[in-house]
Amino acid sequence: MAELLSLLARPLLETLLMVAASTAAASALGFPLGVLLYALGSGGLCERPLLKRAMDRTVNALRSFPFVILMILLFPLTRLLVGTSIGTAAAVVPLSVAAAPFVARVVESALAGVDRGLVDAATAAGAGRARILLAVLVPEAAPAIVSGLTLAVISLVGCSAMAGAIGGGGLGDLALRYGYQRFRADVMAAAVLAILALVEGIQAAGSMAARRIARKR
Amino acid sequence: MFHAQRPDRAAAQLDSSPTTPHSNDKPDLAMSLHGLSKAYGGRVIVDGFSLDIPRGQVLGLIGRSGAGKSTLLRMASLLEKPDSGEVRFCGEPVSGLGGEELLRKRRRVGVVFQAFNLFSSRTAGGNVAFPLEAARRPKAFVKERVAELLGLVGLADKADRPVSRLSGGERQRVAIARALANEPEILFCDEATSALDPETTRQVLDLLSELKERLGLTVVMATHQMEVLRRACGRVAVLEGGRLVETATVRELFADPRSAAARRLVAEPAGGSEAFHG
Repeated sequence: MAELLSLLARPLLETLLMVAASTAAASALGFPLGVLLYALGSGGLCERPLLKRAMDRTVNALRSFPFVILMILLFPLTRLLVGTSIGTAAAVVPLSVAAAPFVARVVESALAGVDRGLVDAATAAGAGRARILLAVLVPEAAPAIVSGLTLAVISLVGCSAMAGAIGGGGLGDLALRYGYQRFRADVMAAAVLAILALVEGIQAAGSMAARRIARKR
Repeated sequence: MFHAQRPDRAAAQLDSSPTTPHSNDKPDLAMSLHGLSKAYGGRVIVDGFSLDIPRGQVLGLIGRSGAGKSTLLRMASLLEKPDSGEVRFCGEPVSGLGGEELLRKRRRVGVVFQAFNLFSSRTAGGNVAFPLEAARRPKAFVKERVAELLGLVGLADKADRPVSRLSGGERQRVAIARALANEPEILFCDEATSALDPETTRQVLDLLSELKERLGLTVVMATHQMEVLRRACGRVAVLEGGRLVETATVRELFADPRSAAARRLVAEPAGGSEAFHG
């Protein structure tokens, strides 16, 4: 048991780091992209149908790549940014690129879900676009954004396990190399249980955050 | 207290605005609409609508659903650009403006919506504060003005309530306070009481009448409820197929409706206004 725990400690930390870093990077990329998708779309704050269509295609293309392929395709970019294409830090690059379009869609649909009437009311009050976005749309969409981000984080946990397979480390790597390849069923089970606990924890935290925002309303 | 300055300001504007011939002819107009037209996807919604709205008038705008009331109101309150025609505030053309100038003009009108359109992420007070924040008023001023406005609509004690915990009537009062925040000269109500029960409708209408007297507001109410006309309006404009077909005082309209559209609307049984929407 003690051996299992000591085996788990480092990969767990690596997974947490990978997921945290790629969540931060994916949000930083995806949030503005989502706002843009919303703003340029029909009924948005500055409609540009052609540009919107081009961005839709790009986002869909990125989202349809199987993660493993995306990881391999991004090796050059990863090497440019991190200096190496293997390791926990290197895994953050493809993870972020994979999750950013998802976050963008989450933000876009959350903003689009805000009642048009509120935009009318804010416009009639003499608010400019930036204020309508930041002081009305984002706060109104906050619960939906939080719920969607929770989904994104959970899917990042799944992808980070795959990233482990190409030297990213983490719980997935532990389960695969130590558990599967060395026939250590107990290690594999422990790693899978740890991932399960992580997912449960993230979902609970996300739901609580969304509830807390909603309860004040 | 801020509204008390309005007559002076209005007088000053009249003196200093001999620029357009129109404002010389009728100097006491809060707003005039000139040949407003709007079409969506080839369908004409508003068709060459012209009307002068004198200062201090409470104008009812009636017509069946789809007659173009909402679109007309959206153009008059600068939410929508007309395809052709022009909106003037106190004789000054305001159509075709953009940028900061357009935002400033929008603050001179207030709009109250059928669905209230309150921000659920803000408290009652936060909703009323929004237009003041948009006008970049200092914080201390906003605080004071919000308290004053909520007092005006009888909700002084509910400033910190989330809007979800207010009744329908209270929500519309908050929306009215929000619409009045920047001291607009003209208030547009788009079916403002249609989502309320009859008793609450009467309370909100009485509040609007009271505010009109106290603040010297000009009010335009688009409605399909005859009750609204009887209780709150002075004059009526009848809209059909996007065109103005009749204007009259409320008394004249009920006694002697001239257009076919007005006759149909007036013929509705007194209690049947709720069922009118079809």
